[in-house]
Amino acid sequence: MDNHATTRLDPRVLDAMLPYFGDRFGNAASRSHAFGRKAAEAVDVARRQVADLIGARPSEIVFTSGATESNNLAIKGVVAAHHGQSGHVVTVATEHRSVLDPFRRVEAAGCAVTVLSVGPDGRIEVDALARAITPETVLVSVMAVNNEIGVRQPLAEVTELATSRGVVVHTDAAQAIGRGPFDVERERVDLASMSAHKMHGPKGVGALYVRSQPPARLQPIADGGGHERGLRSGTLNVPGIVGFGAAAALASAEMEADVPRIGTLRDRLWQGLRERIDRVVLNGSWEHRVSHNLNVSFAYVDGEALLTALDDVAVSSGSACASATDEPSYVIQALGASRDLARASVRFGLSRETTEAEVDYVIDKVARVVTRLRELSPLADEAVVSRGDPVGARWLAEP
Amino acid sequence: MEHSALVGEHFLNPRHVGTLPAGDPDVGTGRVEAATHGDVTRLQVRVDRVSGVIREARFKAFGCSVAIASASLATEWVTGRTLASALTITADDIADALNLSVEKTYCAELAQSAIRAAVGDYEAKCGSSAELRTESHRCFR
Repeated sequence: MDNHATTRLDPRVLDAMLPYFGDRFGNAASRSHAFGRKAAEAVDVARRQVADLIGARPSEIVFTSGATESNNLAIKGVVAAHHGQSGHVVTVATEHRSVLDPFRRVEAAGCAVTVLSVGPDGRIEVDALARAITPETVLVSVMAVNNEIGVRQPLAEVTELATSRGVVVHTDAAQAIGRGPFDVERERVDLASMSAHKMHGPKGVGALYVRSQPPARLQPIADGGGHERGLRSGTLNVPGIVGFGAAAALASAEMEADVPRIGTLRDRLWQGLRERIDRVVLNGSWEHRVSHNLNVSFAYVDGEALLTALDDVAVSSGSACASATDEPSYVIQALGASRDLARASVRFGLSRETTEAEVDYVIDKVARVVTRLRELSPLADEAVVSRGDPVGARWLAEP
Repeated sequence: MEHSALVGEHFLNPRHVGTLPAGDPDVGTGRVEAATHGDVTRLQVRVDRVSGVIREARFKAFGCSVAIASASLATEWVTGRTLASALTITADDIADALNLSVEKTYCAELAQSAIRAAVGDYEAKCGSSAELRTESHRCFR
């Protein structure tokens, strides 16, 4: 149930990869001999498989080590290719850290940065973006699907607006690819970051889509052998790329059947939790959410305590105590939720491997643990004693 | 986050969960909140007026597993102790017993504050009660 963190490598993907750890060990850049050519051919196939999944041309795919590197390359690369340090760039408060941190980096180097806020549904106002764009703006980065709440941003509207003002659009699509249709032509993005391990592929490999018509101007952040059209030097991770390609091909073939089925299971989870537990708050929009995600807060219960008690159910929490940071989820807080509610947030991430029996097990276990922790919680009985007191008011008044 | 076995034990099988009647003259109630983290711990003690010994303790806590375990351990430690002795329990003692990391010591501090607040509440009740003031030495400390 933590499939936004990572997904299991599909056995069919592993089978595709294994030869490239063995006999087919060639360097894809060594096209002068058969070993290298075999590797290069495999990379070409994978490049087409990844391109096909997102409606791109193979030549527009730049393989990287994952979405974090892709985000860094897109943001730092665009800023470097344009005004250098004097431009203006725009992003969103709920972006992944691997987007926000590169923005902080370019800001420290002198770039002006605007961070758009989101509404309680987790989405930006396109009008706010329109007001934020200036003649100096060189880049807008808006994620396709949020990694905590699974909410889609109005990406097509963002690109329509930004493109009309001549601004490059990047999207972190790591949580979107393979979780529903994502087409670079329909979304009209210039740059899109992808990650293989979010879609049953291997860890350590991803890609950046770089639009060729009109060409997105980008400077590399790693110099060297000029691999990947000079945008990402470094010997290609052939087994990883082959696995990414295989995972993309599986997603292309099976997504149409998988996504509605996953959506049905997710709906069953949400309904079951609400039937068994009162005062459950949904975080972010329901309507604009990918089928794989449910993010809720259980009033009066800390997320870390819930995770610890759940034990054999893998979920994740916006609770600060559940992670290395010392602040509760900035994504949930950006929705306007209190810190208490943010720390009580729990993220469920379903995948094509999730079963109905698992969902029912999770509902029952979560219900029992929440009940037990509420018996422990002074806030729960204080709220019963006097509804609407300052303590009770810490939680949204959810039926 | 990995916690010690004793944290796990107290979190999964917390001791003395519950509520004592706060209006009872023999009951002291401490409700404390960690300003930076928002954890809330409520700890209550029932004191034997003659001996000054804490006969029973109850707690409820909102917070992470360590905050709950710290409060649970605190109730175990104060039970059977005199008020004066309970006040000698420090956050360091609790943190050591639970083998807490530096980031988690605030949970032990919260439990210590809860003990002090509960004892303080009982003593304040003693001091403000005319009937009890006549035997003021029995409020102890």
